[in-house]
Amino acid sequence: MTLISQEGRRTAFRAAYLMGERGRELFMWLSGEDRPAARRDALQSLYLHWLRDRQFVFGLMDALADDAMPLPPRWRRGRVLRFLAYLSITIYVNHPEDAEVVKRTTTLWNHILRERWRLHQLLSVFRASIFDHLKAIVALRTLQTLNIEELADPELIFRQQPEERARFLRMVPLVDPATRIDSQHEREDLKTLLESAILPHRILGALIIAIHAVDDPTKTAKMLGELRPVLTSQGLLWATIAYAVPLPDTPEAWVAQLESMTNELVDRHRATFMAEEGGILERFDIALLPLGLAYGKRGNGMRLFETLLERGRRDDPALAARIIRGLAPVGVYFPYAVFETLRVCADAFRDNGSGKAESGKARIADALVDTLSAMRALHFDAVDLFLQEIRAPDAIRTKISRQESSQVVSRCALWLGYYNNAVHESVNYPIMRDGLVIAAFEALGNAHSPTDFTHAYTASVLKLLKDTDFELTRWMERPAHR
Amino acid sequence: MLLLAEPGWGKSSLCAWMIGQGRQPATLAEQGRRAQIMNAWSASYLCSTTSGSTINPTTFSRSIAEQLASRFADFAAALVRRAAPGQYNASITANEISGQAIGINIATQQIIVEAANARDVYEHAVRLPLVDVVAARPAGGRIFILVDGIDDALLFGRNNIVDLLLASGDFPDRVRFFLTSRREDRVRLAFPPSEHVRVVFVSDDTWRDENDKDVSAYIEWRANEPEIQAWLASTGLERAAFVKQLVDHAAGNLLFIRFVLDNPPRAGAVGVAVPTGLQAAYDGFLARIFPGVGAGPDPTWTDTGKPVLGALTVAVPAAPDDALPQWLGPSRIDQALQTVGQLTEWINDADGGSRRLYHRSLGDFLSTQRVQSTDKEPLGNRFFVDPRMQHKTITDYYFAAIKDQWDNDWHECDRYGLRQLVPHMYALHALTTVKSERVGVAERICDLALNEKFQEAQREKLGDGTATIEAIRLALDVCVETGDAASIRRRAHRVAESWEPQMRAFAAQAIADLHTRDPKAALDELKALLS
Repeated sequence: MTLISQEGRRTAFRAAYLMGERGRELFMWLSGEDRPAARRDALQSLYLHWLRDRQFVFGLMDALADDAMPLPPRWRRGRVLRFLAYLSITIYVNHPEDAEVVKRTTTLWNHILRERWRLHQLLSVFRASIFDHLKAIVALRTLQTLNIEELADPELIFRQQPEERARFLRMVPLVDPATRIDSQHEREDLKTLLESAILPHRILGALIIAIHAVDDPTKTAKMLGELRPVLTSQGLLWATIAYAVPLPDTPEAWVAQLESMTNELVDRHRATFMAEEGGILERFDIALLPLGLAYGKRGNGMRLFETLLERGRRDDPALAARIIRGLAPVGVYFPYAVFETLRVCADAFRDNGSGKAESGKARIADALVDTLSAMRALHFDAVDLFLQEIRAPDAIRTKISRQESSQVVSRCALWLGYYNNAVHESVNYPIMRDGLVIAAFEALGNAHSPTDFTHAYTASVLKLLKDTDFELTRWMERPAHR
Repeated sequence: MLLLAEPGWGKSSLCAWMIGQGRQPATLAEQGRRAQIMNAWSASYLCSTTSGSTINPTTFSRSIAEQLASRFADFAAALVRRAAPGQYNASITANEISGQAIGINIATQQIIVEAANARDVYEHAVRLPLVDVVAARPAGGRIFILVDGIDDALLFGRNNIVDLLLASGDFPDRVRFFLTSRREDRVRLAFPPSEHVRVVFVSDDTWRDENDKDVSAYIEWRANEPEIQAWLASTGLERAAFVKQLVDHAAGNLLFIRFVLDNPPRAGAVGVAVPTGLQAAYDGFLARIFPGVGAGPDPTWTDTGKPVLGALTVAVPAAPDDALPQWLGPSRIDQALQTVGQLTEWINDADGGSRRLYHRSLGDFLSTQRVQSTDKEPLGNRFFVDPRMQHKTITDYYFAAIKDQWDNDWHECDRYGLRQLVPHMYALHALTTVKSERVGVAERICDLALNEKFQEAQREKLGDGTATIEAIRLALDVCVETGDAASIRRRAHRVAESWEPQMRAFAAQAIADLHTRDPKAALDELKALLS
């Protein structure tokens, strides 16, 4: 038994859910509080609860909407707005294909923007300040997602060479799935984007691949098959990461293709795969996520991971530990499939009392602790039940309980959520593709500073809002000429 | 359908037979008929207080869900969608989902267990998937679920299996439950007859002919045993007349006739040598061993038979050989077992060998203060063993031992005590009528269940947290019932910070229960947990 407040917080949320509508009171109260850890846990818990009981969470969001105001976060109502925005965005970007989510989200924000703040009326008292809030909530967050400071030097994009800038801008239109990546020039540009040192270039390259792979998996696989032999290890990594799309209806054909790409990464580009060369994997380990998502959606085991894990346990503990750590983000989406894959490693917990820090089992046990701690941030009870079931020793349970690591979950929920949403919007909604996705990349491609981007992108979003009379449902219309 | 019958009618035997356990029918035709019945069940579950875990509603839900999932691919798909929403593609087809991965998940109970609260487990793993399956194919084949002994399930306390089944009353015709129970008022009140609930009292006169046929067949099956043959000879009756007299005497109760034939009189007419009814049979048998009981104090009964049979009446699932002399004092045991050994059976278990009563109905008889006599007037039971005192004897032993013998080290306690001490105290609490005493017992339960040293010993000696989790459930249950808001908050707060998800679920439930009484206190506690 331990006294860790994380457990207490989760129990409080569970009790609130049991109380039904009255339990919303707790979240209403917390949304206005300045308690970062509790707010973070509440948002993750609410997201997970939403998967089970949508009406509770939608009802809470409706109630919060009446309290949220475009005010600075030092004011309670400003904090409520941020809480609501985070929750709404997390649900929306991770489930943009869900009709009810789209309907409830647009209704919610229509209510806030039009009925509460009356932004569509010229004399709205909030109209003057909305530009600042769009900048803070939408533009800055978009910039943070396109140009993730934790992953790369954020200044690089603003200092890029003219030819780099030109290449970036001429590739942006390819996010339209109706375009073709036929010419040699385009393929070379795509290769250059994937191998670029500038993070947004790699993200754009990956996004183009994902959008085309959703729209036409066979053709995209063929194009990529031709490109693979000439890609560097970083290029191959990003071409693989491109498929990290949580949308539930991605083609099953991705499984075989990603097994091949992941296997190539492990066998032929070991240093990159092991994150020995720096790069994204050192900070956000998603090399196994694309295949893990494809496996999870198919629902029939994770064959390659099991094979690699077996090989690693037999004679390559570093590889085994690497695979286990790489499964953390997969476990965020498919916890049970990951538990099944990890189950064979449970003995590492029990036979790891020799004190030999460098022993294979110790490495595997450490990796398991990291992965289960990361998954626990979202799947709190499920991880604890798994530990109970495999009879993990108390010392291990204490260690996992104390290792609070919400980073993987929040990065998956936001970064991958935005990426997921960008793929979905680009494939399905031309107005959003042009007004949000293309607008964001063009604003970034033309920017020489963060301010350039936020001004340009905020203006684009504001224009989109005005053009659609602050009626978000209109963003989903498909113009007749398209 | 709810099947009600008196103890000994053979409900559990019938259920066991219907699901393929027990004796194989003699003829091929009968074997075929039983196979047909056996295959008709989509899921089955047998509750028994002698096996504590079977009355656990979570175990029940898991078992039913596993059986349904392994039998119906569409249920497996619905289960995954409901129990692990968003974590599998909802568009996965039934054929795909019945593949290896899901099979493993279900076999290891991962998906089903995720909801640590018993009601949630049932809701997401059984009820909602069944609703989905039926909604998708209302005209599909019938889904029959058998649950035996739901009266035993009532002993679990709140949110028991009966409560869960009550939530299933709205199923359409495609889903049918077959429930059995003794004539327990709480069960009858829970399932009153209606257009959805058919109640059958099988030990009523309506079914007498059918019951008599079964009893007659059983007697015929055993009639060639030498002792019974000798008895038959002493009566001077034809075999058919002898059997008929026994059948009439049995009044449809199979256990009664089994008991009589297991302990046949050496001689005498059936009407004289055999008492009427199971309770009378037990009374008669005990009177032969302890002839002085009822006429005045009988030290053989009070000093030997009563303590041992009393302890066996309340021990769950049985009294360990090593523990029994500790509870009662070693001098009583050997002599007692020599005299009442026939009424008990020895089992080889994890405690190194234990002893229990041969049938639950004997425990029911011993713990019944007033028994029905032939002229329907209740009479005092001369062999009554007050269950409250039996629980108290056992709990007193452990509390004395921890202080006087074990120097406050719970590691010295035997496995039975670590596992069952809190459940015995819980039963003691339930049987205590004086309010101040109840509160005192409740406090002791909470203090013990939450005692870290006790929990540590439980985990170390029992190998996992199951007993601790159950102890916490019972402790919070009595705390919510008898405690004030401050006490509930204090206990729930401690449990809330456990790493066992089931315990956290109990704490959450306790706070939610407090909310119905004192919303402000509950909300204050929730805020305190976030601080």
